[in-house]
Amino acid sequence: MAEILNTKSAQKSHSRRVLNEYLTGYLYASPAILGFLVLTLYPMAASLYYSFNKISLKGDMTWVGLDNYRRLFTDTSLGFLKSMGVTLIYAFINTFLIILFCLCVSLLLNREFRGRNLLRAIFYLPSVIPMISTAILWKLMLQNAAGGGLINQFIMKVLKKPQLDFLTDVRLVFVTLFVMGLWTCGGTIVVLLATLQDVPHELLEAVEIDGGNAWHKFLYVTYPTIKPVLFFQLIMCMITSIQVFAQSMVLSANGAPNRMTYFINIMIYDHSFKQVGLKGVAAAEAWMVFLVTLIITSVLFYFQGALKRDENGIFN
Amino acid sequence: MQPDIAADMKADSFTHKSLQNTIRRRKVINFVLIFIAFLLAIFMAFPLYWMIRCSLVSKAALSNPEFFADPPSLFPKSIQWINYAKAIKRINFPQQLLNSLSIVIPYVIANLFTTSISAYAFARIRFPLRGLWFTLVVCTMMLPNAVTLLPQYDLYARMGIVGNDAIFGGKLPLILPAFFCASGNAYFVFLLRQFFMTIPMELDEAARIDGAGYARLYFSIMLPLIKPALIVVGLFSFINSWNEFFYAIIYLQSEKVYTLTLGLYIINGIRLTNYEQVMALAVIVTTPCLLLFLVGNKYFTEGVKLTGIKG
Repeated sequence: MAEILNTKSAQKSHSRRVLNEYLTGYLYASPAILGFLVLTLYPMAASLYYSFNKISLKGDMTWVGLDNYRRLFTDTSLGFLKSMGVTLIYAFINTFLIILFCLCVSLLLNREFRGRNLLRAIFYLPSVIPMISTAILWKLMLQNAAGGGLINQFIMKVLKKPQLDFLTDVRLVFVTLFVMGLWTCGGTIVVLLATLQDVPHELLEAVEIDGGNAWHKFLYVTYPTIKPVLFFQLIMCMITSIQVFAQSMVLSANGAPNRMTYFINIMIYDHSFKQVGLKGVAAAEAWMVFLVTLIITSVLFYFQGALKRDENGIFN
Repeated sequence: MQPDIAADMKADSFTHKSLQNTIRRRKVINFVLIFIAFLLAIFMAFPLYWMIRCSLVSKAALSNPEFFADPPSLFPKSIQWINYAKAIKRINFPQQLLNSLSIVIPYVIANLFTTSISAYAFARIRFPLRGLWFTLVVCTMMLPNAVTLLPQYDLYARMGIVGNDAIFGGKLPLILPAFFCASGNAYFVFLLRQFFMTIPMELDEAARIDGAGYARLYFSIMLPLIKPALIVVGLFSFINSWNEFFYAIIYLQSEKVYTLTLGLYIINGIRLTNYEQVMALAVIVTTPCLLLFLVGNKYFTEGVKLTGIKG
């Protein structure tokens, strides 16, 4: 009691308590903070430094300035531009397909009917399976008929058409990859389905009373409600698509056919650990991936912001 | 008067009829859409059935299945359990299972502790630059893993935890990130923080007035309250760690330390023609994930909903 009456000592104990809170905060958050500093920030900076150096087998570094970056764009034997190109094409189409598919499925599952939870579970299930299993499974299903490829057996025996080379044709191999992507996108479906619960019923009814159809309901009520989540899913999907690795490794570790599936992460893995003397180049490639991801993410954010401004500016 | 009433009645029955028509049309549309949903679900479930089926047929039946025979048979005529026995013999199964578990179990435990205590600090303890640190940590989940790859490898190598002769057979680099909320685990910090934010602050104040310290508050009040979220984090980190391939193929450098997932990849790469055995292995590697999903389905969907980050 005496302590409380003594304001000076109370102040002291108060500031001690605040300091204690600060220290405890840092102590408890230290795994995340240390992790960020040591396992993310330092490697990122070091990676940038690596990318300006030629690194020998022993690990000795010689400063070469922007030479590694120059090589990425001029040395065609590296094949960086092609790798980046196929990665971006894959990532854009894959993201587009996944978001569209997930949106449609979640709208379908948003209806009230028996067995809805079962369907949700079925759609989600493939996404918990190891990517390696998924890729091996689809590789088997899309093989030629003699090797046990179900789809080609179907094409030959039921449709009576010649079989398709899903694994070796430069275009069809992308179909294989997209199918794997669509099969494992259940997480996004569940997220969207949960977000659709937040769509206000009164507004949907209001649109109906005003004579709007299903498309109007989607455009003016559903879409604005789920837009932030949809947008976040789009960005995450884009980032994971750019890092495609396991699928292509299972199909062919060397990017066959014709390096069309030699995606950027596979290239970085090869240059870092499989080939000798390309570590500096690999670091430059990694930084290019980072920059490209950053640019795409920023552009997407800008577009979302622009749309928001538009809504507030013109229509309101 | 009379004709007027008649006209009214006519109009009434007309609107009634058109209303009925609309309702009927709606019912039909609804039915069609639900039918499509079920059809899609069958397409989603089919490959899983096919994986299990292919793991149970003979090699001859794989290339010439009874599936398109007339009449088609959904179930293989002779079930070859021997595929599993042969597949397990092809790899060092007990060793690989042990390797997988020796990585996954510490990974999950460490992850549960570090992500929850960091999330607790970010949600409920005030300290300078809290918002900045939290933003930085959460941003790491959007970072492409390649950009940290090489220096991280060198760092681990300098620490002496990479390679076959290193401590723990060089498996430590696969576990270490879980101790530091790194490599995608920032996601869980975000998720748990969201959860902590829903608990009223008065609870902390009351407990502190009663003389509880932060540690006590965290262990005996907060952790029990966020148990559902912890289950979600546990399930997800098990699956992530079990399925890990990118870092596994980099850090696990000898057959002695291969995990089941990596073993499956290697077997697939040998281009062996016994696809039924590869499928049997794939089923074995997949089973823990499927079982976890079936047990924790409710938590999974709850957890996924929570991660659907708003705005």
